[in-house]
Amino acid sequence: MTATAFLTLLNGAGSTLLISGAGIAIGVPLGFVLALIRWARIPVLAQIVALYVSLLRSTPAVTLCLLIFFAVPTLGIEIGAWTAGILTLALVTAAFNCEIWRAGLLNFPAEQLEAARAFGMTAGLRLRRIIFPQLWRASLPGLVNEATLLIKASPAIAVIGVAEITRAATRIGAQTYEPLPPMLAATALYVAIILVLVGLQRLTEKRYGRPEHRA
Amino acid sequence: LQENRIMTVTVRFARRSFLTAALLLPAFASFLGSDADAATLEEIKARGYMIVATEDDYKPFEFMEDGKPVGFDNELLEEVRKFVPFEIRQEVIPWTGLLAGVSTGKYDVAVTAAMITKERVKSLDFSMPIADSTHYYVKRKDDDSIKEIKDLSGKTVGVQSGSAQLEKLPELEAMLVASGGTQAARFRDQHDHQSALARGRQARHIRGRLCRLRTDGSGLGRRQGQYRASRGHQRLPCRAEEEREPRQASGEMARPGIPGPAGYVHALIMEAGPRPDMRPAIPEP
Repeated sequence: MTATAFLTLLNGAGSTLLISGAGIAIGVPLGFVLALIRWARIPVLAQIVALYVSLLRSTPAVTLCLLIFFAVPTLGIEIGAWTAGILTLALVTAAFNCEIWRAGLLNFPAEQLEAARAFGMTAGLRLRRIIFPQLWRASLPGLVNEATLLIKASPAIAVIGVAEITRAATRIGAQTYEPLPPMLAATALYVAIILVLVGLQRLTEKRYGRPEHRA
Repeated sequence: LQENRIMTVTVRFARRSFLTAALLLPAFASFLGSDADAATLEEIKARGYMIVATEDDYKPFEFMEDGKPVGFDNELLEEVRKFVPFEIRQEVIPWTGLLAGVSTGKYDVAVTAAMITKERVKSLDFSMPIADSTHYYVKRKDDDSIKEIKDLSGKTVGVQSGSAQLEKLPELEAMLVASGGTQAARFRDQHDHQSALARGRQARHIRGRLCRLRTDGSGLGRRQGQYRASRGHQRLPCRAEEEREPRQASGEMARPGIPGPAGYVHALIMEAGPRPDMRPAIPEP
């Protein structure tokens, strides 16, 4: 592999990081909001969220991406490849994150909430002071797990012309008829990205985890 | 006698596999099942630009070199740029997205190497063919078990799904009936079977290869008329074709400055291994 080929791959890594990063940055809070809606059993909205989660979990990212990029403009809304890519990944990961957050919420000790109510805390205050600080710590492993899956699912958006790592490797392979070296380099890039992500998770757990959980 | 029969079928195989690098026009069937809002040439002139989609991994037609789209179809596009009275905006997109993009009207045309098949004519408009092609198998250089087509019997083949080559498999299997059965493993795309080939998992794959540029067009004229008549569209490619025909007649399309794909194919075949005598002859019409 030549130096330019490697640069192409690094460029692809940049695209992967940007698009997946943006997808995660939107998808994690969006998933939290969706989880709250279901957890609070808000009429109608909760059912819509349940339907959304079921639909999105069963839709392949490639299909969703094609749908957003090509079908949405027929409704008169122009959408670029990068926007469509970020939107796809955000919508997909939000559905999975919703379930991770919801599992944490369902597991939340009821007695703590009762105690908070007894102190006259409002719902907003309970969420901010009591639930969220414990919830995000409990959900972190699941969320990072989903984030790693999302990064590896991101090649799906190559179908609309975004040259992320895998597409960059495919292009190099198509040009040189030697597909294995760029694919191996691409794998190394994915491993590096995921190791950094998991490393950040470990650091966060160490820094903010409960003393008894700090390994 | 057996040998003769194989040769006869070989010729038929080659003749029936005319390939075109074609301008695909937006199809009637859009994503939503309604008429795609394909822009007409007039509309494109009025708005001042045409959106053209090309692929990125189909060497020698279209591929990326140092991040720039190159290859035969990109050179063709350059030629078109010189005379059209509007701007050409190019988008590089994989085959899967390309067809969806053209049929929904997101792109006005695709300039890509697509074989004209009966199935595709149902949903896409093609320009007149600009090249013909022959299917080849590609094997590893060090694989001595394959020397000619009949040696393929019983081997595993990798073919791009949804490709015109896949439709040709039954013909190959018919060719092999004389010398025994064959089996086909379907790989999802060409990259997959290139790497499978490198790993030794499969013996061969069939791909369309541009054989040579037809500068006279006479051999393809009949076929072109057939498809044009069947679709009856006189939209985008017309202007390009009007301009292209005199260019072809003058030999401009094949002048040395524009590298024709023949050189590429030669290089590829030498690299890939099959003996030159494996290439089925294309009879002159």
